[in-house]
Amino acid sequence: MSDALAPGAPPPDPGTPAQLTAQLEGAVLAVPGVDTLYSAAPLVATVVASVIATTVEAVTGKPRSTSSVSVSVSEKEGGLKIAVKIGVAAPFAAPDVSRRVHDAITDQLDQNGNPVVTEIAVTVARID
Amino acid sequence: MMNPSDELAGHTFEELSDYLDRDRTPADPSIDGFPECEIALRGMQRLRRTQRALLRKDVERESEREDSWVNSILQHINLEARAGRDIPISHPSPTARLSVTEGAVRGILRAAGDGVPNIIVGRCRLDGEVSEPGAPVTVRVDATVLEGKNIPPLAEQLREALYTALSQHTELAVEAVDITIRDLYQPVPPPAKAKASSDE
Repeated sequence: MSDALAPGAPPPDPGTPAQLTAQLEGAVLAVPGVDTLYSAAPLVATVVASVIATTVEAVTGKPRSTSSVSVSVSEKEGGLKIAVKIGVAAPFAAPDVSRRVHDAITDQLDQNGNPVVTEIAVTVARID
Repeated sequence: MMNPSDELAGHTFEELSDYLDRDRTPADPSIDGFPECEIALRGMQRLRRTQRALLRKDVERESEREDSWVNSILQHINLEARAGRDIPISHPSPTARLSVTEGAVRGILRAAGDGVPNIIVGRCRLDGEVSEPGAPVTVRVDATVLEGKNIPPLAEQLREALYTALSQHTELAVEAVDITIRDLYQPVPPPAKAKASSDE
């Protein structure tokens, strides 16, 4: 887990937001028991984006790219807030999987320069 | 009758039903990408399997079709698939905020209950401050039982299945699991056209 920076120290560079998001997605999906990574964006925004993407696919005949952000990285109270929403495969216990997802995120952040983290939110949205 | 507020991720229940009819092809990311829709679809699939099993068992029976209980269950599936409240999961880190949604828990309760033969789960409700760690919670489940079956042992099997699912997937302080058998269902006779076609 990340600690507060020393006074005056520059914040470590966690990489570009896109890089960090992609790395976190990979880390979360690698956790045993995670079978789906849902969009962490607000529902309305995700529905609109999904409808647009589906329409584009219908018009162009080309598979749409999955551009919705599965891992939300934002700033909160001077640190990073990471939020993910997952589906869990039923043989695995949802609490154990969510804790492992949290720990996988902290491990990944450690590799990205251990930025200040104010919150890591893991929501189990479906168990199957 | 459903209204727009009953939609799941912008989809009506009829649209989800049509999607199942098409065997979920072509894949629709505006449905597949939402856990609420997935929970509802899984519940509908299990109910359809039960209906098909009943048809096979009673293919020759010519009684009046009674499917109001099916419609009632479908409405509960739709309502209960919504995310609802966040149920906390503990973690020693002060920055961790882990949770399982109420909709996900209702979904596994329904799945666990549907796994008990000759019983179909109607409504699932979590009563209590589920968002507050350690607060006492009562689980209330309504179910329908196949006519002719002995209800007390079935209810006990259901209660055990629900407790098992709850203890595996939540940290809720479950004070009680109340089960009410609301109705008995009869095997559903096939519609007339089904007689001419082969079963799935």
